[in-house]
Amino acid sequence: MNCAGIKELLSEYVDGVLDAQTKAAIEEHISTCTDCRRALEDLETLVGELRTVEPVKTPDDFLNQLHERIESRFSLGKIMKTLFVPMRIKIPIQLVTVTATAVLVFSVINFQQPVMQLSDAPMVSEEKEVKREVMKEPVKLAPGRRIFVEKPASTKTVAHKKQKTIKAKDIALKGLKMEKAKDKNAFTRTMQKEKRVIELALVLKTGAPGKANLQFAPKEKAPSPERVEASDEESKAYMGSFLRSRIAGKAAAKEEAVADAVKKDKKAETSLPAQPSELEEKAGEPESDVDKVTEKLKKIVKDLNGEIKSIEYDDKPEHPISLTVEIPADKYTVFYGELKEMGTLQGRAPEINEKKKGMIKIKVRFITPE
Amino acid sequence: MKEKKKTSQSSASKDVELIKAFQAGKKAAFDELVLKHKDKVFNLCYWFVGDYQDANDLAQDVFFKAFKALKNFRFESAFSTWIYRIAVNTCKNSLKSFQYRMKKKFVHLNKTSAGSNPGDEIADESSSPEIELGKKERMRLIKAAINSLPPNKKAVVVLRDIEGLSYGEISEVTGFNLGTVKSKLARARKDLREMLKGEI
Repeated sequence: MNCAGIKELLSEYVDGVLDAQTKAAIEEHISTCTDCRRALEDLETLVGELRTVEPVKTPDDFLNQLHERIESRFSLGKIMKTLFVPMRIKIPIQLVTVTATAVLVFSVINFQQPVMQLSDAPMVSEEKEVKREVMKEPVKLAPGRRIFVEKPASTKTVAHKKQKTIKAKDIALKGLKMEKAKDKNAFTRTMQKEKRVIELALVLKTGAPGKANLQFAPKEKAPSPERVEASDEESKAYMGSFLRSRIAGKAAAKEEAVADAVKKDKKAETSLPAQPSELEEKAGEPESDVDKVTEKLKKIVKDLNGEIKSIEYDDKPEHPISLTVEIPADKYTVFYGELKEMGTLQGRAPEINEKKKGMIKIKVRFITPE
Repeated sequence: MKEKKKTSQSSASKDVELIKAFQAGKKAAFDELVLKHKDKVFNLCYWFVGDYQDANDLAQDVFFKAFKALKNFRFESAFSTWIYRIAVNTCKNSLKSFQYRMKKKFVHLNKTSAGSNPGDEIADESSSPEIELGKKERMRLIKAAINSLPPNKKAVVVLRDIEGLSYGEISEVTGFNLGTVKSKLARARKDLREMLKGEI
């Protein structure tokens, strides 16, 4: 056995755990090898030192400290147990999932309700329910000008209903504010747009209105963006067919003006754009005064399921200066086309969403060229 | 040798009685177990971590763990072996902890810090101050050398040379096989010898 092997076994030799044969071999080697003997001496000194190390004194209150620690940890455990008592009833996960889903759906529906209320909120429909009677009550506007307006039978009822409508809209608005703060401005603009009265100026055809027609024609604008896309020809054809069907349905009321309009439509259908000669021809057509136009408009409004809201008269009640009507929003284009047939429309026509259900108010101001 | 074996056997049977009493609901039996084994456990912790206060905390932790687990003790090993195993594992985990490493760094920078000075807590009734001083100095050196050993070598050398456990017991406590225990002990002693060369 060489020195390395002997040194490896010295630790066990010191502990006295080697078998007799190995022990004898080591003792034999040590007797001749000074290096290994010194290593053994060093090891025995070290082990002797380690084995004679004085034991460290444990603190006197070790047991008390331990008791305190055990008590504090266990009381904390008790508190935790009291706070978070484990449930003894087992709830199936499916039931929990279904309940959670139901709660979620319910909350989402509740959250969206204000918006739904808003879409359902009536615009002017409440007023339609109230029966009206014409009360020719003069309203002073300006010196030398009076207005005779139709008033509802019960102002109180209307006011109350209006309040209700406003309230419903307020609630809806609040809901909308909560949900779509971004669309707030857009929404307000839309509401304002829908609520206002559309004012149109109609320049009537007179004995010498050729000038007037030519004068105001360029100012005419398309009634709505949806209709702008359709060609003039198409729109005229559409108007013409509408008028034709209306006239056919009311054969008894064969008014000249309507017949003329139909004829004019046909002409327009066949030849567009209009030639100057044709315009001259139109100027020579039978003239329509304010009363006739008013009567005609009343009929049109009635046909369109609308109603006359008020008529503004000049000094003489026979000469109306403006007419306020209320028609369904989807009939706006038809109504606009009818007006175009009666004269030249001045000013830009506002855009109306025809798909929107509800009523719109239109004020038609009559202009008779000198 | 036979007497020592007899003593350990009677001690082990006493432990079994106390454990059974504890498992039967007698809490005082645990106190007896603590009083019986606290010094050995405390010493092991002290030589393992090298700090009196840390050793106290660790020893208390060891007995607390024993208190919680004693109800399920299955008598597959002696209580002393079981409690040593808990102690060694607790000390090893403590050495791995971030707190200990930070503390060690701090102590290294302030070598003269109180409390960590070896031999301060050692019960000594030596008469001569010179002898006492020499002993304390040796203690400090030995402690420093042991502290510098890796945990496994440290465990083996402390259990064998300071606690006086047999190779078999060390094997049970540490979980190493007998050959590993022998080789680790031989290397640990060699390391210590080299570190303490000319000092002791």
